[in-house]
Amino acid sequence: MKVLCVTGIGGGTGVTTVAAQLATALKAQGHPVVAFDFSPDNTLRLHFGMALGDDSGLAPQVVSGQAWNEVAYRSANGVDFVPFGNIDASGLNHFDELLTQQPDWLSRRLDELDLPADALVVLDCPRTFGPLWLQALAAATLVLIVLAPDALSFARARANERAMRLPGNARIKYLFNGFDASRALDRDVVAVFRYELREKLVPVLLHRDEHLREALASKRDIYEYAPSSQAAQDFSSLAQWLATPPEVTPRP
Amino acid sequence: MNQRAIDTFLRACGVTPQPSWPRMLLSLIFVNPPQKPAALFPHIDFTHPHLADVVRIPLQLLWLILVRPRRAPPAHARPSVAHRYRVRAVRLAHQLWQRAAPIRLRMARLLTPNLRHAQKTLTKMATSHEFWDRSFIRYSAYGASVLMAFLCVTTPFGTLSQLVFVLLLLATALLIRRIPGSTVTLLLTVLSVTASSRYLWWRISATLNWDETFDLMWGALLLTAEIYTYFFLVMSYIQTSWPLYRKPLAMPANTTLWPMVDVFIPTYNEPLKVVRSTVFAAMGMDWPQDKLRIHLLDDGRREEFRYFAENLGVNYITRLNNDFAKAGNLNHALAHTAGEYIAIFDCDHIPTRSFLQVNMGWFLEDPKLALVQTPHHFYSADPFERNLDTFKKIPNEGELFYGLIQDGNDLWNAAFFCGSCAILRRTALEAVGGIGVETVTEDSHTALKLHRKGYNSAYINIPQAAGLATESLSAHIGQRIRWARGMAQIFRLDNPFFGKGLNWAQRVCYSNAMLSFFSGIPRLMFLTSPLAFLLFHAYVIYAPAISVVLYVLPHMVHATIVNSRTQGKYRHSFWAEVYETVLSWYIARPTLVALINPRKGKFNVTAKGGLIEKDFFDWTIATPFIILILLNATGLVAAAIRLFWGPQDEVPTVIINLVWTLYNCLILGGTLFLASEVKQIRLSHRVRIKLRAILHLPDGKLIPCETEDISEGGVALRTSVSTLPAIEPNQHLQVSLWRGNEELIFSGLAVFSSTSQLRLRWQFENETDAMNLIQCTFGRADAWVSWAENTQHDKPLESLKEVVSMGITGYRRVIEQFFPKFTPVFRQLARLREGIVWYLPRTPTQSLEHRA
Repeated sequence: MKVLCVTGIGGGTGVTTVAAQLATALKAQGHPVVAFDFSPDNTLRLHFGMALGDDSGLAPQVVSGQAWNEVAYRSANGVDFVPFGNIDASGLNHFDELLTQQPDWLSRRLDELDLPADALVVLDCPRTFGPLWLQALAAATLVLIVLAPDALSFARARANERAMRLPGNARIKYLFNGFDASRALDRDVVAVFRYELREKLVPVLLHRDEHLREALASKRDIYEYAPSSQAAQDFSSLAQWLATPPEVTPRP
Repeated sequence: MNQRAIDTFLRACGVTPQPSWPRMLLSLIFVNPPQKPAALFPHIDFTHPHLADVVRIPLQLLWLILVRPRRAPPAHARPSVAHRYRVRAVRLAHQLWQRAAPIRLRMARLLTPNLRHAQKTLTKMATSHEFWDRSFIRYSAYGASVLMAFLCVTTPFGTLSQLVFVLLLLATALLIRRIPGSTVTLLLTVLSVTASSRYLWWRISATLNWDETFDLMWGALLLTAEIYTYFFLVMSYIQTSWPLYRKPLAMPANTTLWPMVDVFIPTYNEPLKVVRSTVFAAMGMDWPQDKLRIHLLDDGRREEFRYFAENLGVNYITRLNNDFAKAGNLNHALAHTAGEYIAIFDCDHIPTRSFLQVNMGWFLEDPKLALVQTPHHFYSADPFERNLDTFKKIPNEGELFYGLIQDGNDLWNAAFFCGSCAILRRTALEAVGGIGVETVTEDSHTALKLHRKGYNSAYINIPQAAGLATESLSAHIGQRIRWARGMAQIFRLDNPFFGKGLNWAQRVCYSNAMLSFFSGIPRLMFLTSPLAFLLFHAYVIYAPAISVVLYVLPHMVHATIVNSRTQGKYRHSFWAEVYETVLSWYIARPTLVALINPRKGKFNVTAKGGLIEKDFFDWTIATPFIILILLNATGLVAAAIRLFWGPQDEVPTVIINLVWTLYNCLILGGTLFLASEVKQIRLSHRVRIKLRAILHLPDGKLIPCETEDISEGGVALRTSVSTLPAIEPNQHLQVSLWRGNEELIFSGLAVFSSTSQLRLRWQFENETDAMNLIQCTFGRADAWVSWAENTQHDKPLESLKEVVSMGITGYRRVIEQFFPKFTPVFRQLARLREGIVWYLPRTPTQSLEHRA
């Protein structure tokens, strides 16, 4: 079982979209996938076709002391997912407190799942530095940091890595989302990252493709909405790379 | 014949015997027959009988009776005694094989599992044994070999003994020719040299008619041509006996040790459009930027070029005169630059980014190395390929030289400089006084001078630059004429056979390169020789027909076997005949002139990038061949007359000459095919390259696709599924391409689109875009690596078939040109041929064997 923690630096880099489409792509390639929404925004579920008014989810269950697995759903394309649930500010505080008291809460829940070896767990963590985020980092076998190809990303990436002294065997990989080759700055930032980060950068770039936004608006995943779009191809490549990362030979 | 025999016979043919003959025939035609006959009549549809089946079925029956299809024995049949013994033998052999496993293992360990390697090891063991170090043994072995060879070549044989000898040679060759490895190639070469030497000895000693002056004259002329061919053959064998296939040598990791390189791009009258790409690609070469200087050497003194160079930050060099053309241009630049190495690219040879890194390694290894040459690769079809439609299917004219001969030369340290796509060491070049200016092929002459001074050369057969082939047939021939003239000049002025500094192998390699351009006159001799007998009754080869066959055929067959083996990947049998025949007339005169007066003759620039606006027939080129064809046609008529009304005892000789003339006619027909120029309308060449690309639609949607072809003018894209939205003509679109892992974007206007295909015309705002495009496409390191993977290895009989059909088509085209009203006649003929083929019997379908 692999645990992918998808997180971002700075806001609005598209972490949830990446997590959702990645989970779909992994499922399409034949892996059992469980996706968790760890953000109070509670939007991951929308990528999987859950009704807008449905408030159920992980946080309300935990706060009210009920079993979290009662709110596990399966999307039309076969991805198992757990929404965060709609919760007010005091509820969220309570949730955070509970988690702070049980630092191994997440890893215990993941163990309980008892998933097969080829299964992947995708943790959608756009909200950084909360107790759930810390537990996600600790439980992850791979941390995928989603970046926007802009000037601030580089500085943030540096600072962030220092902040994330990760326990265990987790690896950090950086992933660019929203790359637009027609913007010179995008190309330059990617070039600099390539030079600085080398094999820490995922070789797949996620392009800024309008197909992706339209897919969400029409409440479908990218494979259903535009299977031959660049976005679909990007996520397929990313899923393939994640499921079987090539042996990286260090440069001399 | 009794009834049972007939029944067995019919069954053997797959027909069930019926009580009466008429009923059987009727059952075949009108009744739905059982399965078996259907398999035996693959071309006949029994459910829809055709009137013509009345003819087709008996024809097929006749065919089946004559050529019985092989079939497996029925499973239930009792095996014959012979079969049982065979099974037992196989079983025994298998057991022995198993028992011998330990021995085999030991052998395998000794010989290594790879047969080719084992062969090499064995050869090395046998040849480098210390036994040979004793000069007495060595020289006695040489002496014995020479004696034996001499006996083998000169012993006169009667017809029967020659037949036996020839058959033995042929049997040996056929037995071993499937075994891979250079040792077997050498063995086959020895067989071929034996057959050819014997032929030549016989020609000299027994076939000249000293009594008839006219016959003797013709005979001597033909013999001279044959002696030339013989020496050329033997020297080519030496030249390509063991191609080196040199691998690139890695550069040191520390880039501060990398030397300074000057890149020279000489130009004279080529349009900037052509030169631009080369400069762009040269700028993209992977080399420390402070150690790479690009120089545009403009002999045309054009402002446009100066502006272009200054804009890009490329050094622009020009001079006041044009003395000594390209050689002078390079020498002038040599005096104004200082880099340790000089890379030279003709202005239309676009280098890949890896060019310097791949080729510089050997210079650092060998301080006496003066030259590294790489192949000239052409991404457009040359006129031969275009007119014959053989581009990327059949190896072209130059491939033999760059694919095999240069690798062969490299073994002997005799790889030549070819004027472009090469790196030279400055000190070496200065030691020989720069690029040679005495001849019109300055490149070969410079290499010759370098070798005479004791410098080494290397050849790396990895296409690392590509250019445009010559456009028109006349330009192509013009270029070859220049080479031929230049080589003849060197042969006269600085003959590689004589003079100081070369070893014997280098002398052979250089001489052979020059001799190959003297093939014009001998080739014309071969094209006309049979006429001497057919028209004038001159016995050019004064010998009985049967002897001629017994001596000539082995000479030709063995040479074909060896050449097909060594050259098969780079040149197909018989195609070379067509190439050389076209050139023969045109290079015959300049080589002769240059041989007599080497100082005559100017340097002419090869025109490239031109257009052929419509299909046309190049009469100027074809005229000499049409004359030759008419002569040969007269010969054919004469042959017919001699065959029917001539003396009986001459018939075999007439037949030999007839076959020879027919062959000549076919090859000449091929030249006519060549002369019909196929139109070429685009100024920039579309090169078929499949690259990953992304199409950016105006609404921000991205569609992944693949390029079909790319040129400096535009691109054709294709998507795997039909998903492209409707795109208006002239709509503005963008395309992503990759330079290494860097994604770059290019703008263009839609020209044509369908649901899965789109053609764009580039809309570049600045030079950077154009440069990036070149670096994303032509400049990729792997751009030309897998280019030749679709060409087939030579199959001599297949090639003969292709050349024959090409020859026939050549005639058809000319007649259609001359008399357009014959076109319908040809169409009728083609239909007639198809009709006849339709009637002809066929081999039963494969399924028959399974069913039986």
